[in-house]
Formats: sequence, structure tokens, C-alpha cells
Amino acid sequence: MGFYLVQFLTGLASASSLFLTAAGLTLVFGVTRIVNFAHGTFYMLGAYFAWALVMALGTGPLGYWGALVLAALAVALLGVLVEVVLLRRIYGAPEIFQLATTFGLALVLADGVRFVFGPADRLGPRPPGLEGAVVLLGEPIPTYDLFLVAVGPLVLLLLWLLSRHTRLGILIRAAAEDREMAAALGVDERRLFTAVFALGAFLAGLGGALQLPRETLHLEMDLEVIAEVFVVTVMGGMGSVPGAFLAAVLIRELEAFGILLLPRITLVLAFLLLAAVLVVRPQGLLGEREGEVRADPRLLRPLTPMTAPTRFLVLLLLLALALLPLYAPPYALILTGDIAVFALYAASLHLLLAPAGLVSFGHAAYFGLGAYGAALAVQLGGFATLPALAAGLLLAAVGALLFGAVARRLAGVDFAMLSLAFAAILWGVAVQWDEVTGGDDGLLGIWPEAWLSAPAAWYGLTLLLVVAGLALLRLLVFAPFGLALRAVRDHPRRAATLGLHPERQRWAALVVAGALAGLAGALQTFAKGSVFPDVLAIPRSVEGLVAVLLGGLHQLGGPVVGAAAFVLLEDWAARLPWWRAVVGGTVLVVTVLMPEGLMGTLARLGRPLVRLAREGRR
Amino acid sequence: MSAPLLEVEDLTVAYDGAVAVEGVGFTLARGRTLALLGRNGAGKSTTLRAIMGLVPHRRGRLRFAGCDLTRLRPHEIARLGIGYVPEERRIFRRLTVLENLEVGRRPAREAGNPWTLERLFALFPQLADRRHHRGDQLSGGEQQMLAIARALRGHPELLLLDEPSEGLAPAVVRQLLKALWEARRSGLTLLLSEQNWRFARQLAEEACVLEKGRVRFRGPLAELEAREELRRAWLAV
Amino acid sequence: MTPLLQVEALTRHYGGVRAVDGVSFTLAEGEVRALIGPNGAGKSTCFALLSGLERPDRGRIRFAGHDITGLSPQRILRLGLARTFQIPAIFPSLDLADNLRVALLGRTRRTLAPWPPARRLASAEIDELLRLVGLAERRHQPAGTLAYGDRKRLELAMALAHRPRLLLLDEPTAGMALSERFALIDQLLAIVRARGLTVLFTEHDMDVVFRIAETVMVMDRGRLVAVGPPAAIRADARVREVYLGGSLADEASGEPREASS
Repeated sequence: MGFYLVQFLTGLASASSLFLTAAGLTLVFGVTRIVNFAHGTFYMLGAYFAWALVMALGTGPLGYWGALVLAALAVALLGVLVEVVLLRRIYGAPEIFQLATTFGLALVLADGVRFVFGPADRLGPRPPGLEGAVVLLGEPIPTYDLFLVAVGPLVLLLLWLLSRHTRLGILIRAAAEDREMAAALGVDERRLFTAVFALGAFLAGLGGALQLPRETLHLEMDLEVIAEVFVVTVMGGMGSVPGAFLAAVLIRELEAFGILLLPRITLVLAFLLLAAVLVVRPQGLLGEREGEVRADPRLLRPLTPMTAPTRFLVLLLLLALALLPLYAPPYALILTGDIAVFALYAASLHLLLAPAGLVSFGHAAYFGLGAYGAALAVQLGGFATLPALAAGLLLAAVGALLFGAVARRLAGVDFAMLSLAFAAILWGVAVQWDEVTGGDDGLLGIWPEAWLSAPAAWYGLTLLLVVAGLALLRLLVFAPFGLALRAVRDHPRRAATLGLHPERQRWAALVVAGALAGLAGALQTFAKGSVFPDVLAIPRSVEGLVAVLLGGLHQLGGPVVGAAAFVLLEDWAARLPWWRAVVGGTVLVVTVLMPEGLMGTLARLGRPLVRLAREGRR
Repeated sequence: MSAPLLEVEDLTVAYDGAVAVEGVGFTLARGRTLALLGRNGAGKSTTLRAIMGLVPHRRGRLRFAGCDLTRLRPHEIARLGIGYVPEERRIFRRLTVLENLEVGRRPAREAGNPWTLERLFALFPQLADRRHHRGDQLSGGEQQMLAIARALRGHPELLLLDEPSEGLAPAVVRQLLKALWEARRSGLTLLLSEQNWRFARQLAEEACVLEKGRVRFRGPLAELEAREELRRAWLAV
Repeated sequence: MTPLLQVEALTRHYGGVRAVDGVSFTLAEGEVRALIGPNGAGKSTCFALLSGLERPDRGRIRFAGHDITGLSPQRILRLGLARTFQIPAIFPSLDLADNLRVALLGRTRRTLAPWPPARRLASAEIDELLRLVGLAERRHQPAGTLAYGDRKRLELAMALAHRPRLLLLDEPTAGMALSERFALIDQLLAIVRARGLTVLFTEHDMDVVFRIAETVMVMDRGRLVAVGPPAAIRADARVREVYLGGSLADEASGEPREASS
């Protein structure tokens, strides 16, 4: 009995910090409609700042507790800076750019933490006065955990008091409901947004600082927490603070007890719970139903078939690539093969982002399923190379089918957050289920069969399959399938009143995109001879997104060009210690200054030249 | 004669390629009431929204109490002393009556009689009884009263009312009229858009009739009153 | 003969507001009828209920011998009831021909087909539809670049692509220039007569209403307050009340109008 009580209280204790962080995200979203990816970084910063301040101020009660609060305040201050310098530029931008911008920021900030604090893990000291443990019904529980059990409801109460009984709180709720009307009554949106963002950052910072005695500080804390925070905010209902509390408690309790029954799949349980909630209430536990989510009109651009000269250039390029083994060194084959695989991955994501209008932040899920599917087919099933590639593709397609069953009713940021959470959970499974996946050590020695093992042979197969995949995507986009998909993106209500089924159409696109991403993942497994959980990790999802945005969202060739540019950039930057900051900085530059991407920018710069040339001819 | 409180000149607004308002102009002196009349889609709401800075205008000049409104953001326009009661009221549905009024509260102006809660509740006694109810629990009439009270809570000099009588039962409309008379007696200037001619003529001295985005008539309301054929052509079935 | 559309006691609430409140009427095959009323009278909600975008709280809708109450928009469309929207609902990134192609895909249920390329499908039928609404010259223009009036035309063609028996048109001429309106309306009438369509439309331009409607229904605050031929509606005292606010006693006591003159 005592054991269960302690398990329950431990669940509540770990829910507190998660709730604080999620409350910050949901508050900011409610008012500004921005999902801040860097929110997890604020959490991590809170923890690191607290550690540094405790070291500086000493571990006396005043120093310790003062340090926690000061750390959260410092994060709030940083939040103000970020809001004023960066976010104000993107409030009007389409969602996909907002999400990508804040992700770029997260990468840059994370490297900042690495630069200041170094890569070593840090362990915080125990809080003065709460070092010991209390025995409840014969079982010990850390006193600090009991303190945390109280913190969650206390913060919920304070936030409730703030929102009900202060002018700021009332204005926040008013603006969350109808920003324009609030402005027409004299409410200065800009200052309100800054204030809310500071409050959100403060809560994340406090959430991180409070974990100091419980958790080893490490540089991946940001991404770990953001995935959980996304699950909590979507489950609780976007914008609902009490919903976030309820969801945080539910998830942590599920984990606390799930681990007793099914230690291997606690993460999967969380996702299943979320799926169940969304099937019954798509708006989340305490969320309010939103109207129809429509794609941003600025993202609705016509697709143009290739012109004859472009087609000629593409054929020429393909020929040059096919003949590459005849004149290029082996390293160039490997690099080009990497680019090809990545191009297929990015192009499959592009199908979701552009023609389907679905902002997927978890495309790595399918890449990783494909990678593991192929590896396991070889290791467990003894499959030959080609059937193993097919198995990878199939597993990814099944994953997309299942995810689509939950997510097809969602659109916009809900879809983005859920897709990220789905990938994060698969990542967790790959790490935890080490009998099958090898855990962090991965699966090794998965090489192609003999007839494919020469670099040129593998390169040839890769190129063939990638080109086939890209051709299929192109075919589909211009087929009735793609036409209907674009129509559903442009105007779902209209599409439904013309006899189309928006949900079904999106779901089908998700399966196609998932299958081809899976093929890319499977190809990578054989190219590297191994697979590790990082094929499922958040950075992998974001790399795909960056490649698409870098190349240009509005051209079908964009993801291919972007993938090439990105792989080359990464190949160069990987030698730098601060490659994350380089990649993140690139994202910031592209999303804020160059939203058309390389292809779009080239096209724009090229237009006057073409005009000049034409005039010259005349 | 002193400078008008509100001057609108050559206002042109287009949405998505469709011109909603074209070359609209009128002036409104302090303490007067002007009714923008016309059927649905005539451009009345768009005119009010443009004054509030809620839609960008393609062309034209907007001045209020000597200030150029052209480059101001909506909250700055509101703070100059313009209250806005939008079409369909747009009260904050999840906020209580008191909270709705709090959103509208601005510091009182030096001159004049500030709109305290007591004064607003005296104007709309039903709201006093329902002060702790959420916005979505109010009836249509109560919502309209709240929308007006919320705008008055900022102590405006000019009140923009977009179709205040829309969808309300006659008894409620009469009550609304009385409250607006009362508000005007304290010096408030009103600019209202209306389809409902009988309502408008109870309140306004001046009229501006819009049809298909253009001004068809501008002048004393009495003149429109005297010419039924004009009203029939532009307002009635 | 049974009517094409039978609506009985249709009701839809939003919170405490009755958007549509016990509306009943019937529509005979081939009839052209207008539904008018001030803003917020419930016309658009009525259309949303008829086309399946919203579910009624109470009431029944029978169409062409089927009970369509609460059916999905797709099912209702297949039975032959198509609609347009007040703000023209088109696919801005697709060219005009593709907009119509989408409508045809919906009709033939080929929305998942990977082959053949969409642009090879049904070109003749698309050209005919575009000609019908006078947009044949622009078939390769993205719909998002169309002027407002032309969007309305395109939308009409999309609704016609389904060969409907009943067409619901939500303010077919709103936002159009005056000269354009009559051109569109005359086109529309010609199509309707040629195909024997039944039409129910809302409209604020009374010139348009009286030009084409055989019967006019008037809504106010969720209820139908009058139904009749145009002349009778013009003369109807209740209708004048709805539009001019006649129920507000002229001599509403209290305030002298000359207060501030």
C-alpha cells in the first residue's frame, strides 16, 4: 500500500515541473498563437542558471531558494529580449515559418549553453532543509518531492488568481479570445505580448530550476522536455492552463504506474492516452473548439509543370549523376548518395508541407521506422537487401497509417506538435527497447549483399530508387490525387461541398509521404551499415524541414536543391564545434530574411535578368 | 464654427480585390449624431472599421480631433477617445460582465463626467444584475448593452456603433435608444451604421446613405425623412 | 407532385441565440426562390443546415425523396444539392480548369487516382462549363488572381459541374459591380431554364431579387415572417417592419429629437 502511495506522490512531484513548463507554452500560445519551440531551451536554461547561481550564492537557504527564483527571472529577461528582437518580426508569418524560426533559435541557444557551461553533465546540490526523506506507510519518499507535489497546485492557483483577479490576467484572456477587439478597446497588443512571453519564459525557467535537485543537467534536456510539453499541451487543450495541469498529472501518473506493469512501453502508453483523448475530444481535455483551420493564403501558390529547358537540364544532371562512378572518387559517391537519400526524405516531407498543407515536425518518425524496419528485417528475419528495403518502406507506411488515424482530424499547430511528439515517442521506444533495437548502441553490421556491396553498385541502386521515388512524388502531385490534395489544402469546406473527403485525402498523403521517407531511411541503414536512435530524433525531423525551407517551399525542386545545400553545409559544419548554431542560424536567416528559399530567391533575382535578356534581344 | 471632431475624406477600402468602400467622405461635429445608412454590403461596417484602423485603406484621409489617424494602430486610435461597438457585439464570451468592462477601462479624461461602473449600471440596470455572468450566458440584448457599456468605460468622445439594433426585439431596441439618448446628453458624439431607418431617425440629426460602397446622399436626416422615394430606393425592399 | 425540397420546423441554436428557429417551407421542382432578410436573420445558417455543413438541433429536411437531415455534405451533394458561398469559395492556387476538375473528381470519386495526369481529364466538359459562365478565355489563370465577380462565376460553374437538381446560391452577386450583376444574373437564368434547375438564393440587391425570383421568403431573427410573390412581399407590412424597423413606435417617448440641433 505504502509503495503505491509513494509511487503516486512521485508521479505528482514530477508532474509539477512539467506542468509549469507546459503552462508557459500554452499561455504564450493562447495570446500570440505562436508555438515556441525554444520553450524547452528556456526550461534547460532555467536549470543551468539555477545551478550556476547556487554555485555563486552558496547553498544556504537564502542563496539556494534565491538562486531558483533569480534563475527563472533571468530566463524571463531573456524571453523579453527574444520576443522584442525576433518574435515581433514573425507574428504575421505563416505557422511553418514561426515554428521553424523558434526551432532555429532553440539550436542557437542550445549551443550557447554548451559554450558557457560545457558539455559535462551537472548535478545540483540538495536543497537546504529538504535534503532528507519522509517515511510514509513504511516507504521513504524524498522531502523535496513532497515539496514539489505542493508546487504544482500552488502555481495553478497563482495563475488562476492572476488570470481572474488582475488587470493583466483579464487582458490576457480577452486578447486570447479576440485580439482585434481588445486592440479596438485600447489594449496595446505589443506590450501585452511581451509581458505574456516573459511570463511564459519565467514559468519554463522555474520548471527547469525546480528540477535541479532531481535531475542531472545535460544538453539534451531541451528536446526531451519539449516533446513531453507538446503532448501535455495538446492533450490538455491548446491555451488551457488547467488542462495542462490535468494532462501533466495524467501522463506522469500513467508513467509512474505504467512502469510497474509495462516498463518498456511507458512512452507508448502516453501516446495511446493522447490518442484516446483526441478521438473523443479533438480540442483536448479542457480546450475550446476552434473553427476550421485553414492554410495560410500566402502559402497557396500554383504549381507549374517543368518547362522544356528545365526538363533538359534535369535530364542532363541525371545523366551526369548516373555516370558519376566513371569519373568521381569514392568519397564523392558516398556524399552524393547521402544527398540523394536526404533529397528523397526532404521531398517526401515536402508533399505534406506544400501540396497537403500539413506542417509535420516529426517526419523522422517515418525515416526512422524505415531505417529500423530494414535493419530488423535483416537481423531478425534474415531478409535479403531488396526485400529488407521493402520491409522498411512498409513499416514506415504502417506507422503513417496509424498516426494518420489519430491526426487526420487535426491541422495547423496541433498537427505539428502531435507529429513531433509521435516521433519523439518512437525515439524513446528505440532507446528503451534495447533487446530489439539495441538501445543507444544501435544495430550494427547491416551491409548490402555482395552484389550490391561495391560503392558504385550501391550508389547505382540508391540513385535508381531515389529517382523513382522523386518521380512518383512528382507524378502524384500532378495526378488527380495531388489535385484533390491541393484543393483540400486550399479550402477544405469547399472541397467537402464538392464531394471530396478532406480527412481521407490528407491521410492518404501522409501514408505516401511516410512510405517514401521510410525508403530513404532504409537506404541510409545499408549505406551506413548501422542504425542508431538518432534517425528518429527531433533534429532529424528538423533537418528535413530546413532542407525544404532552404530550397524553397514553393517549388517541387526545392527540397532536392535544399537537401544538397544542407548536406554540403552540414558536411562542412560538422567539423566545427558549433555546428548546431550554424544550422540554427541558417534556419533563422532563411525563415526571417529569405522565406522564398534558394530556388525562390534565385527565381526572383533571375526574373530581372530574364527580362533584360529579352529586352536586349529586341 | 469649430473644426469638426471627425473628418473622413475620399476613403477607399478594398478586400481581396473587391472594393467595399469607394471615395466616402463626411464630417461630424462634436456632440452631433450621424447615421450611415444603407443595406447589407453597402460599406457601412467597412467605413467604421477603417476609422478604427482595423482594415487598411487604400486611399483617403481620416482625422479625429486634429490628429491624423492614418498611421495609427487600433489601440492608439481607441486611446485618442474613440469607442467602438462592433457588428455582432463581439463581447468576450468567456469573460464576465465586470471583466468585459475592465478590458474597456481607460483612465478618465480631465474634462467631463467619467463613466464609472455605477453610472453604467444605472444606464443598463440588467447588467448590474448579471455582473458576474459570463458573456456567453447573456441574451442578445444584454450583449449589445455590454458592448456599449464596455466602449463607454474608456470615456470616449466619439462612439462608433455598428448596427446596434440588429437582430434585437423591439422592446430591447427602445431601451437601447433611451440609453443612447442619455449618453448623448452628456456630450457624446455618435456615428452609427444602421439598416433600421426607424431606429436611426430616433437618434441622428445627420445622415449619409451608402449604396454599393459609394455615398448616395449626405445631409440633414430631416431631408431624407421628407423624401420617401430616396429611402425606398436605397433602404427598403 | 411531391415537392423537391421539404423543410419542417428546422431549428439551430448557438448558445442562447436561435439562429434558425422553426423554419418550414417547401420548394417545387423548377422554382426560383429568394430568401431575404436583414443581417443575422439566419439565412446563412439555413444554407449551412441544408447543405450538411451544420447539423440541425431539431427539424427535418427531405430532398428528392430522401431524408437528408444530418447527412454529410458529400452525401447531400451526391443526391443533387449543390451550393455556392457568400464569400466565393474557390481554390486560389489552382487554375480555373483545375478548379472545375476538382469538382468533377468529387463527382466521379477519383480523388485518390495516381494516373493519368489530371490535366488530361475531362477537358471538353470543363471547357463547356467555363464557356457557360463566360470564363473560357482564362482557363489557365490561377483562380486566386480573379476579380471578385469572376470568382463568383467560377464558383457557380463548380456547383454546376455536379449536375445538381437544386442550387443554393448564397448572395450570388454580392461584391460585384452593378453592371456585372445583371450580366451574371441573366447568364444564371439562362442556365437555370436550359437545365430545368431549382434555385434557392439569398441576396441583398433587391433589384436582383425582383428580377429573378418567382417567390420571395423573408426571414427575421431566425423565423420566416413572410412568403409570397414579389409584388405581395413589397406591399407586406411585416416585411416593411423587418427592413425599416416599423415595430419601433415612431413616437417612442422620452427624447426630443431636436436635443442637440
